[in-house]
Amino acid sequence: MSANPRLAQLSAAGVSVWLDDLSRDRLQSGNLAELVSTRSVVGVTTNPSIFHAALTTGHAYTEQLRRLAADGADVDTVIRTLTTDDVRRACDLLAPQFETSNGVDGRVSLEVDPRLAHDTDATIEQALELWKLVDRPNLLIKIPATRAAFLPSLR
Amino acid sequence: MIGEGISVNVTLIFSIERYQAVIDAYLEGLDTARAAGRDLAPSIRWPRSSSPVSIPKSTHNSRRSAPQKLWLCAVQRHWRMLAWPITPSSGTSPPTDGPHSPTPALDGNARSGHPPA
Repeated sequence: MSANPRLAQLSAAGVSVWLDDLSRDRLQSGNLAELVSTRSVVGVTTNPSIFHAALTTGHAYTEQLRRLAADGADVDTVIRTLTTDDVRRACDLLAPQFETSNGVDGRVSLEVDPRLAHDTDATIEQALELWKLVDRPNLLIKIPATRAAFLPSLR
Repeated sequence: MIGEGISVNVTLIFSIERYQAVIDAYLEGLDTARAAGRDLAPSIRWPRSSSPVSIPKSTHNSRRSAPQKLWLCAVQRHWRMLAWPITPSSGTSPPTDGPHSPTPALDGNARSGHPPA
């Protein structure tokens, strides 16, 4: 993948280029690292649709999925483990950007379950859980700006 | 969550009023974190660009578009952020010069240090 001068110019002008996608394939193949080095990507954002596509395509998750199933993990736990593992790796990959930009860039966003959008307590509980599971300073917890989810919980 | 030291990405904001509420909630969260004695250094970041923020003159009238109003709102709240008291020992003071210096300017008159009207 050759460098993209237009994205480099945008970046030099102060625009932070984010990738609106993540998958284990992108992590394992070195594709994300390449996008960081040649496409000026300094952030990654995810959502349930992105993880749905990642988990239902290819075989990158098969081995870990089998291990988790053998351990008796339920579906929610399996999905939580697979996705937070990916996000943690992406956080590590973008850690240099996070450090050199003093935290302006190098962020990876992980979304709270959208079904909790109208439940303040559950939103806070899951946000704390995701924050602890990923355990990286450059993680962003994505919550919707609904009255219930954000007004009390953002504080 | 901000009060707990968690970085938050608030999504799906569709009105200026909600945008203002988000910024206010964020600042309240920082107050909570500060009152709890948390290190705010990981929570407060400054623009990396030294380019001044400017708003075209066309936005200074009653016929501002929604994005223009949002932009103005963001800049105004940013000024509130800059005025926010920072504990010297926390090491979070914004630099006064260099590439990370926040130097918002509104039609060239904001360098005097006053928030936009």
